[in-house]
Amino acid sequence: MTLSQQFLSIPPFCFELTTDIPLVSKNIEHIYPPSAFKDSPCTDYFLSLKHGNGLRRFIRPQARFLADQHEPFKPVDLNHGFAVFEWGMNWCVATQEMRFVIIHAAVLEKDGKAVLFPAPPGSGKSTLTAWLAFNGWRLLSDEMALMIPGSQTVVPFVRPICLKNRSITLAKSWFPSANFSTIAKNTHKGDVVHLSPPSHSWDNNTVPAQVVAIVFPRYDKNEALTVTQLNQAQAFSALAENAFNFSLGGQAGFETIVQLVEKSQCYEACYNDVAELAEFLTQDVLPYANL
Amino acid sequence: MKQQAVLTYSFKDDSGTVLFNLGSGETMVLGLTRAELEQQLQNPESDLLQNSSTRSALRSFFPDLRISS
Repeated sequence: MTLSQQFLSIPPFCFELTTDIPLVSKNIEHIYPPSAFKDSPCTDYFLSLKHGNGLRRFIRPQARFLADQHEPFKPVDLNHGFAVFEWGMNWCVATQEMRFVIIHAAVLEKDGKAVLFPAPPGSGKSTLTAWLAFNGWRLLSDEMALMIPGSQTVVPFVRPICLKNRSITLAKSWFPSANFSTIAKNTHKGDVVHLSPPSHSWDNNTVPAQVVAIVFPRYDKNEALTVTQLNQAQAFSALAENAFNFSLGGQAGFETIVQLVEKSQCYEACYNDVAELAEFLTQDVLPYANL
Repeated sequence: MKQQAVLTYSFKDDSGTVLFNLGSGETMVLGLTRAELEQQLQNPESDLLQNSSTRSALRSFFPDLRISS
């Protein structure tokens, strides 16, 4: 089988991917912009996605993900290969990078002001992210906020948006001309598709932003928009639960989270209409946030 | 904030105080100002120290905490 090698520059990191699975390389070429592909190595992480060995090449074929010779995940169905590549990149950054305080959150920016959306799976974070990214906001990340310690500055890590189950149909109806990956059916997260964000987000993927607000979103189809302002102690507790590595960063990591909640507006938002939540952000949050 | 084994920080809006153990990375957020916390820690009969799970959690930050049980 042909082995393909791709050098991907996804600021602030570079990945080298070797794969013998055509579905993976085809999805990468479809989802990532031409500017992400480099001719020469510039590698932070060496990744590989290859067919399983022995009989697994033929019977229920599997894909194996390796990062610098580590195999953090069990082999998966071959059709899940691209999704595992995306999750593998997340794993590399979440477990290795100590330059940043990393928060499990989507990050979007408008008028130079960034909003963090930390949330557990199932809260509708990625659906909200996709809607905002295609409606006037710039995506910095769908999955993790890379904070420069001791500051409000968030560094973009622009990647495809991971949509699951019902949100796939919704996003395809909202953005019919957008670039979607092939569907990975029945993964441990259900059906998964990755959506390429608009060119505005890719084109500005080295431009940092200042965090002015933290919104903990929760989708509930039965509840109209309800916004609750959090005090700083509540916001710290909620944010710390989503911060991967702040405690490893010692005093600098701790102070970064404290400063973030003290200098940002912090809300919990329950919603059933993304446009309504976006209107709240645009009219009631951003105009009152000072940079 | 001063470099020590446990950092104690009171939020500017007086909503609470967070303890951060630099050694273990554990955090604990209490809905008390620093002055209220210090007062309660000195009083074994305080509401804070009467709660066994809170008392147990506080020991991770203040191993020398004297508590009559």
